[in-house]
Amino acid sequence: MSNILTPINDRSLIDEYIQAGVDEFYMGFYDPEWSQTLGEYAEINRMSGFGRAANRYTFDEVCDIVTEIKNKGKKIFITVNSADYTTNELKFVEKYIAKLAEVQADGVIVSTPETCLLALKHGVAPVASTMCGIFNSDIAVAYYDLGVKRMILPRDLSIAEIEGIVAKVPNVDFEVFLMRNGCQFSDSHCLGFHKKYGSTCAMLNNASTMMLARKSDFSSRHNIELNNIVYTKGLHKAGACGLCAIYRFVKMNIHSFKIVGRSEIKYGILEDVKTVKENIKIARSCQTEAEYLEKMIMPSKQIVQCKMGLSCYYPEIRF
Amino acid sequence: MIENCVSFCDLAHLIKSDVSDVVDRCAHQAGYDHIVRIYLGSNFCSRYFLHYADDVFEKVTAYLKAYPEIKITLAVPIFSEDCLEDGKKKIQSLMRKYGDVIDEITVNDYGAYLFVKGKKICNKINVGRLLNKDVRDIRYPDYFNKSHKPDFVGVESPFFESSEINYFEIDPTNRFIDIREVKEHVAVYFPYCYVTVGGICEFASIPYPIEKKFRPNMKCAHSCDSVIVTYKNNFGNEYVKTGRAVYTKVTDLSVYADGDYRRIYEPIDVLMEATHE
Repeated sequence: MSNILTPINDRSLIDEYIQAGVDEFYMGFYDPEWSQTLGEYAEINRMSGFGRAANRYTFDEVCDIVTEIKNKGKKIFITVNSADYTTNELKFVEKYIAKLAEVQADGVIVSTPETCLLALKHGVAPVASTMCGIFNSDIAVAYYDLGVKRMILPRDLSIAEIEGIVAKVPNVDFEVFLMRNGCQFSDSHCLGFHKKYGSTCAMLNNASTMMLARKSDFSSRHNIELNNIVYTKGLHKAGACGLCAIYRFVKMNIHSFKIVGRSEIKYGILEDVKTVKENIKIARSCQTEAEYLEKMIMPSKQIVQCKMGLSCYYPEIRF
Repeated sequence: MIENCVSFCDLAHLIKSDVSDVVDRCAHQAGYDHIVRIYLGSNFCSRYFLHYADDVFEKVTAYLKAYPEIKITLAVPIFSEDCLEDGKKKIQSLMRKYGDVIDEITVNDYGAYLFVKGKKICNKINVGRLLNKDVRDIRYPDYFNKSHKPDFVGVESPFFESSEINYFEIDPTNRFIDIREVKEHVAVYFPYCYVTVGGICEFASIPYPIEKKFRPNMKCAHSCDSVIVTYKNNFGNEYVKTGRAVYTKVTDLSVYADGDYRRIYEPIDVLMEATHE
């Protein structure tokens, strides 16, 4: 399939995104009643901590947007993928899912087995979020047997591992990450807030650190400290790309390429959509990976992004 | 009754020398007068679990011959796809060799749960700390200092019935953990709470050239045995990274419980002392 899936956080851009090549959209929402009832620390979705920057619309507005996008012949998925939900929170979640079934959303991006079941109960397709942590084919089979036919694979899997999962669980529509925001940790098990003090990884990268090492000779310390500098100052600091992996993913028949960035400005996403779209076409026309790598369109920030594989989801293609 | 346990999961390098001495140091740090259980294996890293040397089990089981009342829980991490088949073989191999003292398995994902249950590898299965995803963030004192009642929604999981689970393991996500209304058996790690973990290991990359560093689930030379990073942010909050996980210390944890529960001491402080030595 090789669809392009992007976030939509400004409904005035829907047509522009479709024109650029977007096949599927996803978005979250906020709900004042949720916050009033459950408190400021209860999160509807994984991006709730970013406030309106990531979830600009109320639930009712999102339902309108679902209808608008469906009328334009495209698909739309709604995120209900907080790390976990309490019993009280699940009551709200079920209410949202029931309404999303009414407006015929194409799926709900969920984070727990319980929310998968709620989606199935109301006849909405559950999409296993990266929060489900599908790191291996046994976990994928567990969710598949539950009724989940579409899954988002974690950012921290190698291409070989993705290939392995796809081969062993063939009847699933898999999504993989491309472009924009890489993570040092696993989405599914990074359990701090993304509120006013920012992400845990950014906080750690900016904290004062001390390294304790068993070996204190110059060479050992040098290697450990250099490694730490590259990790904190270099890894994904120019975003995360992945364009070079498109040929492999097309061959694997990956269903959708997920371009993240719910809280980001439109032009970067539009540019990424166009580049990914064009590279999918090129990949399909190429006989070999080497030919694709020769002909592909590189990211616009190539001069900084393509250095040493540090800003790439799948650096093993080039390095 | 409170069950006193010590976890050497992801910290097995601590017991490479004298098991008795390290267990005594851990018990002292934890404030225990005795222990009933030792956790071995890994919660956080496929590679660590696969590397887990048989000599660790040999040493611990040899030590336990003098203490037959102490049992072992084997903790199993979420295997990344590349390690899945070898990981499952390793679980079976360890159970074949040490099944007389390993009487529980802790799993951290639903695939592993279904594997252990389906193959009848162990009768007692614990739901591990990675399956409890209550948010934890010490940077928000009004959240962290409140009393937290874990809500085991997972017990209604389609994957298992609560009655099938031996213990639900949780982290000290808040200063006050209230399990008085919880019907299930609960095990609480202390004094460290894991905050985040990832498939990309900083330490595994140490020997690699820059262009080969920071690959997910990369093969490694156990560099995590010899390095710890401590962090202090602008607000004075402290964190520790050992292996793939980052933890924060909860120094004045209170657990409110009416019935039995289990506490699991995680000896990161002992490891830090040993790394300084």
